[in-house]
Amino acid sequence: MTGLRAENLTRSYTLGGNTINALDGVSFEVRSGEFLGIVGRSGSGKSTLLNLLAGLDRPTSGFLWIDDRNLGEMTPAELAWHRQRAVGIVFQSFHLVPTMTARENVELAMAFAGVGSGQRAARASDLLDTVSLADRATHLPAELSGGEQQRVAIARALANSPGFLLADEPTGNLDSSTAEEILGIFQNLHAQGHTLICVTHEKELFSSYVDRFIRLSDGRLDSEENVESASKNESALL
Amino acid sequence: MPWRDVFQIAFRSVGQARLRFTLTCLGVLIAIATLVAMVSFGAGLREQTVDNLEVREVFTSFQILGSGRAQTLRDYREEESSETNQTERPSLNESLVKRVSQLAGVVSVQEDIRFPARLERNGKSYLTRIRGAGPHVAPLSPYSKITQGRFLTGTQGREIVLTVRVARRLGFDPPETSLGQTIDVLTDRLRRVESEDELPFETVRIPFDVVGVLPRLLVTQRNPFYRGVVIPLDEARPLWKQSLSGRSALTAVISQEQGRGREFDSVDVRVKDLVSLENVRKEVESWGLTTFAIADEMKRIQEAFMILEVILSVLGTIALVVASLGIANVLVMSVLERRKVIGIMKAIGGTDADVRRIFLVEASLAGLLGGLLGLLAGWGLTRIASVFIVRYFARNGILEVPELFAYPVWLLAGAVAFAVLFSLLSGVLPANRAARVDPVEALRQG
Repeated sequence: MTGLRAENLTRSYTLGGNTINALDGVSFEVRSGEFLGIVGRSGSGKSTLLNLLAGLDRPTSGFLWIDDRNLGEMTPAELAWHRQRAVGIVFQSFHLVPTMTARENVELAMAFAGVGSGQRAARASDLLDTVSLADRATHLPAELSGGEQQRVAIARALANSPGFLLADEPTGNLDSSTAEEILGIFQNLHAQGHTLICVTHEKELFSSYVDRFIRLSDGRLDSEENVESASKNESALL
Repeated sequence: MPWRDVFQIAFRSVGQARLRFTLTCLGVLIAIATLVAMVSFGAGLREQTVDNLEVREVFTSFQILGSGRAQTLRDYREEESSETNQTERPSLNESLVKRVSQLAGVVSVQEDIRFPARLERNGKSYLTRIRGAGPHVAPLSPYSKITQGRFLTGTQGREIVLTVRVARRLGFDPPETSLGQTIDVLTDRLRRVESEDELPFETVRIPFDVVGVLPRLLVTQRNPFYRGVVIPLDEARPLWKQSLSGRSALTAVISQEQGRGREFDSVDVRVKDLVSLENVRKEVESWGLTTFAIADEMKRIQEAFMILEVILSVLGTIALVVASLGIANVLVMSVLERRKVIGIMKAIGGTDADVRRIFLVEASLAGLLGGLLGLLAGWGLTRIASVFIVRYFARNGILEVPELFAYPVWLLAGAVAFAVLFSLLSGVLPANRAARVDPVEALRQG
């Protein structure tokens, strides 16, 4: 299958002799081209789940297939490849390299994937143009607003044309109008056929854009909720 | 990640921490400068000594030793006596010189004549040993290094070459004022006596013209076999034959009584090439005589200098180890400070190997730059030291001071390679630490 399937996914930590299940037997699927929102309270396991999907962490037990590749069986080098090529990640705090310009940050992801410098420069220009930052390409992150930094982070996440775009609270540090801009970019990407998975606690804001929500509670999958197309369109119009 | 990008990131990182990088390089610089200065000193000493000995004449000549010197050599080498019985062993006299000169490959055979004598001039006197020398020793140190006057032109004529020390003792200050002056050589010789009241020797006084003064040389430039006051061989021979002093006198009396004639201390043999050297030595030794060639000692000398260089290298290496610890410390700090950036790199696809390479390249850059600058600083240091050394020796009468520091290619290349290697090794631990950074933790803390 193309897409993502999690089966009985568990991630446990041991703290002071106690075992804490940050994720406890979570199972779900994401179809290719779908926009999934993951909601839940703080500490419900949303970010832990996203880290597993990103290949930044490994499940304690259970299975996680992305495009028929089992992340649990991947070597560290294969997981790095997964982060280079299969997924692009957008963080709440943007996490740009502060000493690199917007263009260099975008190019860095391609450098790790072994893309040649000429090809990198052209692709970085295109991506920064896509997120309307062509004129800010030579600026350092500190010289950019929060919204602009997040757009650079999105451009970086898309640098190697990944199958999945993962976002952890991408609007969490932004004001509402900037958040709408970012979600507008996500909507365009979704329209272009990208698969998006966003962790958020702003369900209302995201409900206009996502196809479906899953809710986590205490590390367990609490509920799944499809968002009606009509409501999406209506919300989008509003 | 391509190496070009690894280097770019590493260059950028060191460029952003210029002060820290400069201080790190400074540590390597000091260490390499110390190492280069020390090893170049050792190498310089070796070059001086070995070059001095590696005159072609030295390597195509050997000495046949008289019984006294043969025993001294055996004692030095801690060998058992291999010489045949004294009565069977041929004596080192004129007939032996003739016999050796008839061997194939022999260019010249010259007896080595030395005897004690008193030099006098205007009431000042100095007791020394005088050597008879032919033109064959002219190209050898120290005779080749005469800058005041000249060396003896032939085997005849009452000419004498003094040393700086002897000239001063005789009142010539500066020593070159002795040139053209006449001094007396006084030596005792045996004589027949008519009655028991008379002593069996007399003192003869022979005037010689000073034609040259040998300069004072550093130990490394001195020739172990040729030194001291010299007069032409033909003038020395009759004086030596009759000279009367200590052991020589006793030997002379015994030899004369035994009808063997007086034995030379040693005989210098020059051959045409190294093959002849081996063949002639073997032949002479088969007669029961002991021979000595500088080539025998070269290995020992080389070993001695090798030990010196190793000791100096170890001292320099200690400095480099200290600098390496500094590099390791700086890189560990850098890893701690850049945890978030490392986390970002890994989150967007950087492998452990990519991160490790970036840190190792940073460490190597410190080693390379520090090594190259250290090389320059070490060279500068030795130049300054050289100026002071030359001045010091000049004040002490040694005017011709050779270059005491040498910079062989192996030292130049080795010092930089050593700096890079040590830096690289010191970067391994921090680089591995960086490679092991957990991106989730790093980004959470960042």
